[in-house]
Amino acid sequence: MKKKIRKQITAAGLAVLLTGSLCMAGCGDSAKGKSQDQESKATQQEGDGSSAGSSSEEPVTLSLYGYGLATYTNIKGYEDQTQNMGDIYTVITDAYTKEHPNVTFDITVINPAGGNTEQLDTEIASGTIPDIYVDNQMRIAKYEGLGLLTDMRESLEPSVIEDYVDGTFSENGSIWRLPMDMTAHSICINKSYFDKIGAADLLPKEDSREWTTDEFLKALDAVKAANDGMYPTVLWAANTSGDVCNMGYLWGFGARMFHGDDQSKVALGDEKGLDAFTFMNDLVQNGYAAPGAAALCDDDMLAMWPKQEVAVTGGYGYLQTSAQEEADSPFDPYFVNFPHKDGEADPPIAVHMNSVAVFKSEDAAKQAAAIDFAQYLAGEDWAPLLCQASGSPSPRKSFADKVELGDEVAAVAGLAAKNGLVDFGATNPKFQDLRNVYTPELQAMFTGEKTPEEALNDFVKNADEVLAE
Amino acid sequence: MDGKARQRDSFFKTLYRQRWAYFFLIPGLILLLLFNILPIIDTLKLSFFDYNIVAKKFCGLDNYIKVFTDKKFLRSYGNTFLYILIIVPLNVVISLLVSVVLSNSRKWLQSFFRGAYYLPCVVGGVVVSAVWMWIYHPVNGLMNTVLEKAGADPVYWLADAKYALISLCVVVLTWNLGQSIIVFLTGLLGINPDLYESARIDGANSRQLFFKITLPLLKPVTLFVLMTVMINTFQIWEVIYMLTSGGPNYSTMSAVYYMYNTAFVSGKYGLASAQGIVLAVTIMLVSRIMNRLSREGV
Repeated sequence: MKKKIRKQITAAGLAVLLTGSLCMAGCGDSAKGKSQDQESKATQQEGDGSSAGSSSEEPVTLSLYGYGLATYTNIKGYEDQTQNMGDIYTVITDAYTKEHPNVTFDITVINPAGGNTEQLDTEIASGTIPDIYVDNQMRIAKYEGLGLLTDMRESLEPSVIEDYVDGTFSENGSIWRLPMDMTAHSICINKSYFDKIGAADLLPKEDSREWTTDEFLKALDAVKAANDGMYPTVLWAANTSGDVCNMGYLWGFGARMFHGDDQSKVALGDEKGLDAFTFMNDLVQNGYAAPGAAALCDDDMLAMWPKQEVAVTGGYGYLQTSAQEEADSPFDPYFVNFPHKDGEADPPIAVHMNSVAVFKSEDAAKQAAAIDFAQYLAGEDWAPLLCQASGSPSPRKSFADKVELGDEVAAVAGLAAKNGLVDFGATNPKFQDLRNVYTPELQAMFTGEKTPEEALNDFVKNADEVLAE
Repeated sequence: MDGKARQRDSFFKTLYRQRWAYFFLIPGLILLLLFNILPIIDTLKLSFFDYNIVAKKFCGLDNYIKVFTDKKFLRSYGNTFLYILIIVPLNVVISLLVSVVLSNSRKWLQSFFRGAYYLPCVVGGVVVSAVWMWIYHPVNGLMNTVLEKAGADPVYWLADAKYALISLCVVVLTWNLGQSIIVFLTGLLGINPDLYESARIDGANSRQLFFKITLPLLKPVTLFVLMTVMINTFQIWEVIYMLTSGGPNYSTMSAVYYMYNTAFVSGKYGLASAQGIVLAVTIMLVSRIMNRLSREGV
């Protein structure tokens, strides 16, 4: 009997302990929340009146979300510390903390696999808004659309704003991101391979770097004829990642995503858009593109290029580094414009920018420190290095001399200066949603489920719905 | 004392008699409340709101109307049933056959294959999918290399809407077969060997032993496997995320993956909640039918 009672007491004790620990866990959180709240209030009080949180001695912890950008690896001078995607954020924040010991960082690297920002969205929806976000402006734009980003115009010296290339910011609009580099898209060619098969004369001349769709197809035919396992080109549509590379084919047909500044509806649904869709589909259906385009993604292209499995691809500056420094057998890349239809010569270039944005915060000290950090990241200490790593020109005129661009990247920058830039919606808050309805239509077209006309019409219909929401 | 009062009295008597049992259930019940009941109630509530990352507005039944008029959701809902129709019967039949063969084999062989089949369950869907990504790859994939060596035309497993869904089913099968095999093996070990012995004395052959003894006695286990595999298949997600993102053109999109996209890619949490409720009600209905069948059958 005694034994039974002892057992019951022990068991009851255990149950109370378990229940108690659950309650304690809850209390612990709320206690923690309270202390954080108090701390943040205290920081806010201290921060009021200070122009930059970093200059105050009050400790500030900034939450930084950074997209795992493949191009921000192997940073010159920090090769050992930046082997993996996202490592760069630790290196930069450590350097900033050395200069501002009161500012520390809590870093989260967003997995880039799917090309979306689920992780950050979930945090925001659950009420945890970070302080800083580093990513491509195409993905950042969504948060500006939701009214979550800080306008940094007031905090920037006018000379800094003027230092950015024309058109980076709207004249009096909000400066909701500070760009670090400028990725221009072009056609990247394995020049060494064309030399090897004796078809280099089919490529555009260096002084123009422009070609027609017929000339483009002739070059691909030469690769096909060589029949040595090299794919003439590659298109991909498994997910939205890297889709701007393939959009390059649209501009050469005179197709545009929007009618000028009016971004309430897409403008692709015309004859020019249809010609471009048909051309892309023909590349796939006629065996010019690597098989299985609907299941390939830009990571596949990035893997095929240095292995010399593809001769011609839509790409960007990073492919120059990849060809010369990462390939087992380095080869000469040659960058030219996307092909154009007769009568649509010199198509404009699509450019997007990796940038840093600051989320709005009621904590003045945090806000000031975050803006200060954003300027530091987009400033002369780091932005030129990041441009170098991604093989991209700097969007700041005064940094031009600090970035050693490869010949090919410089040539594409020259094309952009000559032909102008195309507005494909990179700063439209709905751009991410547009991409999500663009990709399935490409898949349907590449698999033969839809004709180019059906795919284009469905994209236009879905895109207009997205923009109208 | 009327019937109701007597019933109430008996309820409290039972409660008092089993007080320790209920007392010990408290931690579990709190966890259930925190992590299951409350989120379900919250999801139901959210489904009546137009709720994005930052704003929340009551919208009545709008989300439910959108759910039932959204062709893409209906397609993914249909795909989910296709996954179930393919995966569940194949899983049950294959795992049952493998278990029967293994149960008659030597101990060390049994242990080896049990481990081998269960390994994918341990490493998880993401790792299994990563391996299959390489096997199915349209350019450098193992499968097409083998086909090429055999002189056959390559098949674009994940890039062709005809094959993509079936290809994913194969991945899911390799991943979840181990669990069912372990359950069936345990069930087989529970069958009294005397039954087989006496049947053999009566002249029963192997087929008769299987159909007249093994299969009927495994019925509760089979129904358990059916139910768990079916519910897991309803929730199919990581394999799709890793291999196709629901493509090409929504041909492999499942209802749960579509719901995930609605919530975490498009940021429409209210609409995603409505989709979740529709799916939850479907799972409940199907489970209820299965339960009824199991009670009648066993």
